[in-house]
Amino acid sequence: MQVMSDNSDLKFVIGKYGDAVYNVICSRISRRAEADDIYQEVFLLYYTKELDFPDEAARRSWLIRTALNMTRSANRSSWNIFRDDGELDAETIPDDVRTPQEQSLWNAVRGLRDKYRLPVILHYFNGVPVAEAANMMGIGENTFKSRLMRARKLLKTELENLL
Amino acid sequence: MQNKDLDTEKLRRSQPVRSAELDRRLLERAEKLSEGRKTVGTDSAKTGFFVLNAKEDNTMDRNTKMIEVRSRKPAAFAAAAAALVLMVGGAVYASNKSTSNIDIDTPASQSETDETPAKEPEEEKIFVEPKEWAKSYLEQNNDTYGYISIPGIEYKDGSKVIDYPVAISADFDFYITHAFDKTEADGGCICADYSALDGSQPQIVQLFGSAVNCDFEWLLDNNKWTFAPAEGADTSKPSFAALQVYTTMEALTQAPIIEFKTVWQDGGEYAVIGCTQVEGDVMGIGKVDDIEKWANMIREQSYFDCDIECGADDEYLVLNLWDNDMTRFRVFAKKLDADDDKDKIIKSYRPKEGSGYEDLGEETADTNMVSIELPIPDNIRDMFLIEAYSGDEELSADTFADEDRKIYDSFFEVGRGDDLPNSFSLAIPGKGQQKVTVALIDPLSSDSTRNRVKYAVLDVDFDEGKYNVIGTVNKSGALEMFAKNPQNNIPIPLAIPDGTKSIYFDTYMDGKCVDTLYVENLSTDSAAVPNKIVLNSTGKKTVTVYARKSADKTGFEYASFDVDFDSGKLDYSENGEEKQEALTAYSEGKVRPVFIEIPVPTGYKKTVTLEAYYEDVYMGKMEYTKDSQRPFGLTLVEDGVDKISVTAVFDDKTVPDYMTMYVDFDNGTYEFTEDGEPKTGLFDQMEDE
Repeated sequence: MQVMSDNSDLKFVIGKYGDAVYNVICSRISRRAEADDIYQEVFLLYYTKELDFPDEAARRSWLIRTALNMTRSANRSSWNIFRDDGELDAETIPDDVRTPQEQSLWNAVRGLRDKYRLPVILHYFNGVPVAEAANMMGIGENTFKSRLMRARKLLKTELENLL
Repeated sequence: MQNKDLDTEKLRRSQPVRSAELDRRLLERAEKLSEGRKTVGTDSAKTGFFVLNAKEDNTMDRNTKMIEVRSRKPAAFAAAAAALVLMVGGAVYASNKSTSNIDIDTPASQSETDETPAKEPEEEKIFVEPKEWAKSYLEQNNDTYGYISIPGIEYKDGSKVIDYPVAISADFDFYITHAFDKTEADGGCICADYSALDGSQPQIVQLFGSAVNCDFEWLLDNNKWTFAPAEGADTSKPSFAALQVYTTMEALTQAPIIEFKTVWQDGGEYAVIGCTQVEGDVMGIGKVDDIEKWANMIREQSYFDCDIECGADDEYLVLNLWDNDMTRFRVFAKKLDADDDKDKIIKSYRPKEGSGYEDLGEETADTNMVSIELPIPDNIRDMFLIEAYSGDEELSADTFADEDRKIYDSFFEVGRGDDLPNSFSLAIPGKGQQKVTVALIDPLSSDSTRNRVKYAVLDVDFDEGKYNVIGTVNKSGALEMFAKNPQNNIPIPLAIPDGTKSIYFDTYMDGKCVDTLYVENLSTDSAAVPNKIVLNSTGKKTVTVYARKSADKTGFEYASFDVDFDSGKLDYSENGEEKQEALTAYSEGKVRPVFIEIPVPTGYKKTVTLEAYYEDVYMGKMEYTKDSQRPFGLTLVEDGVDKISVTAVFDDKTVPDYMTMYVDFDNGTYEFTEDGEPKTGLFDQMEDE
């Protein structure tokens, strides 16, 4: 196990990729405490593992794939499926500092099916290039772009109301 | 025409923002990790897990770790040491349930963090070495997590079917596709899920195993039920396929205890408390907030009942049998403690009413099972039904398919593309000496009166476990029956969204329409959901399904598949996934297809593929051949106004921007851009070549 002598590297990585990781988690997890939990676990795992990355893209890819893996279990859990709606709503992610319009748009993004939501989160929110994001999702570039376009079309109505 | 589109900056601003407090707590935890001090826990504490700190002492053996834990009862840790587990890698989870006499100072919840000052704990250092048995596995693979075995589910020679080391990885998918020695392997190996990825033993441990070798029989042999894999099965591949024997009461009484241990912990015995079939794309059980509620839910959903006490403080094991990223069967077990009475548990297993559980034990109390092996004729279909009928006399044509005499009914299948085995086997129950008639049935034949053949007649001595084939096995009759239906029928599953109304699905292969499926009104309540197209051909083909309303001549490309009819392999073509949203919008009349006619010189004989793109995003394609029954053009279904470019692919040449146009989908019109008209001269050029 590698334990860092200081956490300056971790601070740097959180500063650089914290938003990306958090957005990916929040796009798939409804409850704030659970999202926060997974967020911490992703970075603590990064912190304690001996990981060599050839470049920053590889580091970002590892962080996002780990976040996706960790959310998968929770998101697809039979426990969540069987849980009452009241439980799901009780700790939903708050509005933060977003305007009502932005909140509505975020709700629309969250309302997209997973296959369309993730491309939006990865590419538009976090600026992950198409090839890299497609690789993270395990799909072809054309399929990724196709989903991205569908997602944009699905969000179009929301935009027309908001713009 | 103008295209109004998404403002990505506005979209980006809508994303949620994490609190600064979250990063502060994260850094605090990281700092304490590096200092070797006891950790701050996570919100997961409410699940019963807590975080321990682990740090490596270079003076120790490579597999020896020092862990520090905080507790208000440090004396209890000597007893707890064996139960606390960790392995290579960071923060360590462990179950406070395995050390139930320890009052762990669990972390504050998110809302409490600021207001509740942390108590300064008393610290205790504990040295934990991996168990002796684990060292050889750790040398082979540092990702070793534990070991699982199930006494009672055994081969005929007495060896256990499920008897495997368990691996774990931060990348959960790794051991789904890699063997324990980290080489790529179909089915991977037995692995634990990420909640235990730091070597701990959470209160609920989840293990995953593949469905490799799912074709097996559960046979009674000398008063013991044994696991008999299909001939040719590679039993060296780790698999949880055998878990499916828990759908019989015999397995519950013969194998009620699962043995599981982690590399740092003595073995534990877990009693099976439930099993369920899982529908849909469900991997893992996720996070459980209320253990007791969860345990009760399992009991309610399980096929059988039992009297095992399940509490919030108990530890649990969940075994997941997965297949193609889909969990399909789960076995739940509870760790036994001193208060549990094994004999009492075994006696308490009982099927739930209407669960379909077969209590073969009672039925076969005075019967014996005989395993019959019969040859498979050459070139037989790789899928058929087998039935067996018993009686004092040989079955005649009049009594064929006599339900009262049926003693066996099973399905034979091997994976397409696999080599067919030379024989198949069936285990039939009975007593004394009887005539048994074995029939083969072609499940794909539509002629119910001619879809079965008397394949063999046997003289079986159930008491001695012996049999003789009377006469010859009717291989030629079987071949004749299967010859009535062509080989290489491939069912192509077609996902059609709920609510689809009045849509024709035209299936094209080699430019010809080979099938049309009509969906009048699809809902989940429909008695029969038409979602499968069965095609017959040979070789590799591209199959394209177009969706259209009766008033539309062309329809639009709904899905596309690459099919190898010889091997049975089926996959989507690139961009070939079903366009369900477009279909729903089309079905509801919200969008209309726009057919873009593409001129082609008369007599053109070569194949041309035309692909439409919107800002480099693929939208649809059209393959033209001289015998094509489809009009030469593209049909697209969208809304609004889009600038569409068509790329033409002539054999191995690609011509981008073969034609470019603005398409107004709302009004069903299009107009070429400047220089966007079709470059038909290219056809002439290709003809000349």
